[in-house]
Amino acid sequence: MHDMTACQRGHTLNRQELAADERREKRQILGLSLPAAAIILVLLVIPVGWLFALSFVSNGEIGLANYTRMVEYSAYLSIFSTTILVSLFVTVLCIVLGYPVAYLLGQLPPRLATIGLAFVIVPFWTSILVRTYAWLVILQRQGIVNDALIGIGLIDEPLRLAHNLTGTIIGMTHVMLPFLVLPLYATVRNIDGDLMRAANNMGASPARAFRDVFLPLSMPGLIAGSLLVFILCLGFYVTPQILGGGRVIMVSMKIQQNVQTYFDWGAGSALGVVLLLIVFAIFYLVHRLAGLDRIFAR
Amino acid sequence: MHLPIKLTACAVLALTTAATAQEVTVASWGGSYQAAQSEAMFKPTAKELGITVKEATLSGLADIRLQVRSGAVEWDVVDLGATDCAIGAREGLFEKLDYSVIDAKGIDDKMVNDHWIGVIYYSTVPAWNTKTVKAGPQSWADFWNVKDFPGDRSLRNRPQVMLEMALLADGVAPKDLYPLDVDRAFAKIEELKPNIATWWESGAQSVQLAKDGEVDMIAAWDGRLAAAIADKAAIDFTYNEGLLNADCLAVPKGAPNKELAMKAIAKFVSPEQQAMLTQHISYGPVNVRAFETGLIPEEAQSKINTFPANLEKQIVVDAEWWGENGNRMRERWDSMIQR
Amino acid sequence: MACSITIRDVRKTYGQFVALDSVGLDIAPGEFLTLLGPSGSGKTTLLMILAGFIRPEAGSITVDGDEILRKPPHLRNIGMVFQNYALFPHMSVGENVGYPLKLRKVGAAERYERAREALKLVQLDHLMDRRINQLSGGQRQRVALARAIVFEPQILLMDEPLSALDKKLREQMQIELKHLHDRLGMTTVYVTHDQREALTMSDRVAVMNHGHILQVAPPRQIYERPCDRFVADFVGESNFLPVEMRGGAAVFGGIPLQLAEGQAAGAGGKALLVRPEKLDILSAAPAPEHNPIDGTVEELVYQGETMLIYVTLPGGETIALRRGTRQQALSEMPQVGEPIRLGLHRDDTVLIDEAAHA
Repeated sequence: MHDMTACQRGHTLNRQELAADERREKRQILGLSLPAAAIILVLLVIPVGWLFALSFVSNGEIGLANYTRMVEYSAYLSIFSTTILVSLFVTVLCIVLGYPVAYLLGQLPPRLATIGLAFVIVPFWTSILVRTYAWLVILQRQGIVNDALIGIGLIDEPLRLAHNLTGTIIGMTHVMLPFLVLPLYATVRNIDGDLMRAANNMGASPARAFRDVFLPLSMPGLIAGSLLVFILCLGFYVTPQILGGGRVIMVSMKIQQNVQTYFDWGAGSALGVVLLLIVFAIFYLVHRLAGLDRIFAR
Repeated sequence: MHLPIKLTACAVLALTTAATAQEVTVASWGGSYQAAQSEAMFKPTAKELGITVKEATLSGLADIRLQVRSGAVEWDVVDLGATDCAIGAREGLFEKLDYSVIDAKGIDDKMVNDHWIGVIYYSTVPAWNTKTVKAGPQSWADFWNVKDFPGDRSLRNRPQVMLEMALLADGVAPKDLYPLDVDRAFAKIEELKPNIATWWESGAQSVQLAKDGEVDMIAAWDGRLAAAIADKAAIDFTYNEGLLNADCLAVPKGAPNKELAMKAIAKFVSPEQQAMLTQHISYGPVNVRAFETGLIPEEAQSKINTFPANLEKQIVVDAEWWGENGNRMRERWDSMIQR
Repeated sequence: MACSITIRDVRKTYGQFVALDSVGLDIAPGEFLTLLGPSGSGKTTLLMILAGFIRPEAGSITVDGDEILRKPPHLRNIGMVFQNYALFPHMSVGENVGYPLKLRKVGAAERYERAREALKLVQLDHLMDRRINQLSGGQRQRVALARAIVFEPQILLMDEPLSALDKKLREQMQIELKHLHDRLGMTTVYVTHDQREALTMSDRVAVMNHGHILQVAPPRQIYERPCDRFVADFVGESNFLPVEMRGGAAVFGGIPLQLAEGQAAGAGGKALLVRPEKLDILSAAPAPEHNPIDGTVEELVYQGETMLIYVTLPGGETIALRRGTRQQALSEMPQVGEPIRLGLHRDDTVLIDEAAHA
């Protein structure tokens, strides 16, 4: 009887106080996210907006000069296509090399997997510049690889491994591999081993079970990793600059060059804007094809 | 009561004006180059003119453009690449130089312009690794001759000077170089492209490539090569058909101490200071009269790119032509490299 | 359709740990056999060996006379329900159930029909297009079951399939599974650590411990006539009372016990197994067929449908008995501290060898 009345009176008892508590809690949560929002505004929204505005200024005049230039010279088209093709190629290589690594790590017992993962992460501790120069030392005409191959008599003439597309792709793939392996591993680790056993049990050969079950379930990690690698590749500067021998011109290099050539930030900004639009377009495309929200929500 | 205060204020003002009138700010590229300039030029000039020479560093024409456009010019004299000077002059960023104050005698005509004047020369020369190449190319025609001079080459990843080299290799006489026959030059570069292992980007990289034998022949800068050779690198080069390019001096439009800047520039390009600079850094004086001053030791003279015997083998790059056409060439160059 | 399974001398060790120690078992066609045991007893290992996911070191398993140990799992044609169901989250309910058929190259239309039929068996044919994460635990369990039987395997394996369900649902599913088995008749091997589940569903129960099968028998026999102290202890609630052997007769508390038929006292250490629900409270009236046990009421525990009465015996042992909670029984309930005389009917008297697993 007592309980009943308490229930009924509960509609008004402490109602305003509790509502106030609720509001205060919400304000606190909002307050906590404020620094992050401010950082995003200061570090992302404002610079990108500024970049966009600058791209329409050339030699102090407002206009499309920075964009018409891209149509005028064939270099820009090939720079954008080189950038995209190199990025795609590196992404595919990362998938080919990184998937088995992530798969293996996912199958290992946790202790061994942690050790394996450390091997994947350790290169992160070395600067990209150092790693890229290391590749130069390894790949160049009088480098370790060529010396060794000539030494054992496999080749007579040194292979051209550096100062070109080959070197660029080798270097970039090495730098990018962890970015594919880590998100993929996180996904693969969480795939229940019983799912593969279940498929096996129902009559699927190991290869078939991989195709029908493991691969689709690893997709979120694979797509996240691939997008990460691809987009990082689009803006890559150091490795193609050092290992490309001037032959591989990526957008980022042209941005730097244009600022130098035209003494004008706008000349670089326009390229940045176009690159950004390409990234958006790719995101949209992947979203339409694969449904990003579905992949990441799962 | 009011009078003394006004007087004091006036006196202070007069003193300040006097002080600023006796000061000139020079902006250059920092590092060993500016240190050498400071020893050979800035300090002696301050002493001789009885003024203060303040130093600043810059990173290119963009700095001057910013100062002039915003009307806040801080520098009186700036040191830039000759092409940047040509571009800056076309944009109206510089004051006209007063050649009644500056004596340009002994300086190549191409380096004497209404708005700027050359200050040092560096030369782009054919060089080679002495371990892998027995007889190095003695001309650009040799450099292009892959049959008699087999091996990997490297050119700088810029059209500047490379187009001149190509035309010389194709048999154009030095006096007929300008205006450049651009189509012919690009065609000639395309011809060598398969033999170019690397298009170099930085001076340090160019020396590294030659030293490590990554390429057999390279078109690189004499100063850097000379320093590497002094360091016992297996490199040699020739001044034959070397292409002389200059750094230049200019006075930004609206410079606070314009007149004094003219006097300072006159000192910087004088034979004496030009000669002294060679003691501190391996760049060539623009003023050939530097060799007549007796300030450069006999044995050192022949190593300097503008030493008359060397100078006559070389060609001076026309900065004005590049100021006018540089950007267009750069875009076309990139398209050519990408193909 | 159903087939027999013969397991001989199957052995599996992990380093020093013996998971299965030369296990042998015969399973009849169409039988519902449950492997019952605590964790680490080897029951799941044996199931995984049957499915082909674990390779034993030695032994033989034949299905209708054919050796299967060297066949890869995907060629064994054995259905299996996993403990966590192992449903494919990227497929709909219908696709999950149709998957084994797809692997057997059944056409889309027939696949759909058969998947629907299988789902109908578990009353889920209306959810064919649902995604797995939209299902409740019980529904997932049923989908897993439908998927395991849709391709009509000769053998169905189930690895604690009900352990993730709440009690009510679990009991309901036990009955449903049993009915389904009765209807489909496939040889079924079921793994559980829940003795009640084992008793409810099985034709026979194999009780396992430390890699051995201790007893294989129908549920009633396992419960009523356990042949082993571990089996008696693990299955159901049990009190063990020390029994003295005097001249071929079993004596407890100074009184010779009346034994059930076939419960020869024999030699060696024995214990009297007393299940709480088998005990009566003796009134003043004589009960010639009961073995009397005197003690003092120590504690009463009310558990809803029954009440547990803990009684301390003169020898210091505590035994429990269980009484229903009808109001009349409650009103006659003894009070704590009162002396009480319990009676164990002659037919409910079970003697267990103490020596084997003391």
